[in-house]
Amino acid sequence: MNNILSFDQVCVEASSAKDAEFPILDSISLNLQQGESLGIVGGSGSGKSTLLRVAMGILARGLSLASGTVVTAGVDLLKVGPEMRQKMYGNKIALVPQSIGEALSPHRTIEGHFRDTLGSAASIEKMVDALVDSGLEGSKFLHRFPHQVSGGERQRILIALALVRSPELLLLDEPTSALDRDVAAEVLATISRLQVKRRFALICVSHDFEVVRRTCGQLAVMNNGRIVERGPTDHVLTKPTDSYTKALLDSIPKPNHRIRESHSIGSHSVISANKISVIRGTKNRVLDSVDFKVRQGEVVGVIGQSGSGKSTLLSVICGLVSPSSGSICNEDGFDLSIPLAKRPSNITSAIQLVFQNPDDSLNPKRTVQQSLSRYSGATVSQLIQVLESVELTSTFLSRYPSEMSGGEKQRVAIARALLTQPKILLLDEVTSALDVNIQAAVFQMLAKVQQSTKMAMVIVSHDLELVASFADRLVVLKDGLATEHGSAQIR
Amino acid sequence: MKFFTKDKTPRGKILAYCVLVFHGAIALLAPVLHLTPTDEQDATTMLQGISFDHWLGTDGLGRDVFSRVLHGGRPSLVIALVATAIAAMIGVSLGSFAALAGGWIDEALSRLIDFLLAVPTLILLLLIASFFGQDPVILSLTLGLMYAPPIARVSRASTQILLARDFVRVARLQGGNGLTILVNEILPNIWQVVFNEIAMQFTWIILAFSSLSFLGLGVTPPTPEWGLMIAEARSYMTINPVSVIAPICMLASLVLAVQALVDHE
Repeated sequence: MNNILSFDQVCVEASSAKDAEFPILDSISLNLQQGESLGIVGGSGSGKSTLLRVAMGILARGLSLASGTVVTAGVDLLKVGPEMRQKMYGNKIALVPQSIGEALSPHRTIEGHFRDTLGSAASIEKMVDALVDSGLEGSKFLHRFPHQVSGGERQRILIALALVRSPELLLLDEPTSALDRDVAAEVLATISRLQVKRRFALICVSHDFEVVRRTCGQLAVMNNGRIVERGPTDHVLTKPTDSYTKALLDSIPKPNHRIRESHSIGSHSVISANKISVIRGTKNRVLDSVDFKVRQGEVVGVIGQSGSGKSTLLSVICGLVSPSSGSICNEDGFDLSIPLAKRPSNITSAIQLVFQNPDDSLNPKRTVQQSLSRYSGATVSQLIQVLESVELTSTFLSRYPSEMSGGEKQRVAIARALLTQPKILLLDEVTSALDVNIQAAVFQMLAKVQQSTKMAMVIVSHDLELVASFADRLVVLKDGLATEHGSAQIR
Repeated sequence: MKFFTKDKTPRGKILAYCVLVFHGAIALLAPVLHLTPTDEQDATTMLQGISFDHWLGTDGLGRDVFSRVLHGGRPSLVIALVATAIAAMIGVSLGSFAALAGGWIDEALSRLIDFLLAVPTLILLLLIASFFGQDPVILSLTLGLMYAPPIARVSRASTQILLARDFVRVARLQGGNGLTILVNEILPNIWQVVFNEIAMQFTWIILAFSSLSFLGLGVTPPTPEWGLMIAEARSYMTINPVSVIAPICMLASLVLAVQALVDHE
């Protein structure tokens, strides 16, 4: 028997009584042997990241091990000192962290990172081999700095760094959450190829069933700190028994299934943009002669990979960025290329934008009530009404952003945009930071809002299925060019 | 290593608080403690060591050092508090306005801040004091102006970081203007960082004012002030060292306590 990781009845609790609604980890038992791979799926707050940390012997501040034992590669890491843990990292266990943007030191070349990891055993040959193994042209990358490589390449470099000392256990935390669809698929293929070849044990934590399906033989679904269902991946995905697993699987957007039904679309455009271009620096065309129209009551989906200019298009429409050339105007012919500060307030409030990251779009020092009423001047009853329209209750009025989940924060951000009664609502990847089941709920809520207000919406996302099931019409952006217009129903 | 430390107030922080409370208490209570009057001279008891009548001995004019030390913080504290308030007002408004305005206004204000930073503070203070005399109002204003630039720099930098945050963009989209955005969105979020900088400048202002007094341009004798006391006692330091050490200890403990608190924030 070659047990790499074993959890035996592990319970982790928050030390302060205030947070102790339920244990963070509740009687977790699992065994992982050489060459096995386990995917862990669950919503945010389900305890999956804590489980990964505990496997590395780390308990975050304010958490304590209530009972149980964790043995990783033959060592009880929670009991040994930091020096011993440090010896194990890289050598026996390796982690590829979620935020790949921050995982590499910006002032160090890729070679430097390998030298840090390998120490005296470093050799160019080893580094190149490791990079080639993860599907990169090794020698090309050694002298580059982290900002000179793309997101997918960065993820591959991190995997190469994690595997260069041949650990027995590889931990992946949301390996593809920062990557585009196509790139993510390639990275996942590389991971499963390496796992078959090198026979390390693998734990992959994700909120996305697809990621786990492509990399892991076993699947565990977590909810409220417990493993609610576990088994071979295909079996769990096709014949789920637990109600939470079923709910999660049901909320994955399916092709040819519409979240929102189309309604009457007006004939006149609320936004019409003509050949707008945005140039950054000297010649970097972020948008290149894009024609874009949104009619009254219409929902337009804009899709494209990261860097294709989707967010810039929204920024131009709402006035945060002025176009370098071209014209853009609203239904009354008002020129929308003039900067935000010079627009009359009724024009400003008629176009509202909801940002991607709800953590960043709410002032952390203000309660929901303060955030909502500050600029709109809405009364408490109006606030409660708008909160109800985004399916929140009046109890949220007194909460601070830190006291809400991601989905709740995003609903508040949408409510704030709705308060000014905009004619057009711009949604920038509003659900990409949320769990799948919450994503679906937010979109259903948006569909209801759209139906009752008949406002126009522009929805930007890299998730084709999600947008196709919601929008009336699709616009595809690629390298700043609008390359395809089509009806969403066709897809 | 922060994963393994328990949540508790560091001892240094508690000590620093105690020292600050002690300083605040004696500055407030010194006049009502029925101490020997600070200007009561006695030619028969000059330069005495520590005794029951004079706990810290007497100075060159036979005045009670203990009483003078307890009173000696009052002028520094008052001037430093007023000057810090002025520095904070100038610094925060200048810095955040520069960041909000951007463009050439930001550029011009930043160069002004650089210019003020380049002026040697003590020499300018000496000039001002010799032109306008030891007027506390003018001294506070000058100190406030001279110590505003670092606060302005910190305010400007932290405001710039916040301007890139989405909630500030949303405020602009919802029709907020510069002032409302500054008050509602930016100040509450930069306040902690800026307040630390203000507290640091408070200690520099105390030291600068004591230096001025030491040079004879801060307060007028016989008003007790630590810097002035050090200057006066310097010449007979070998006979009664306590009369120099006591004001130095008071000054140092006040400055260290404030800085320790800032460090622990």
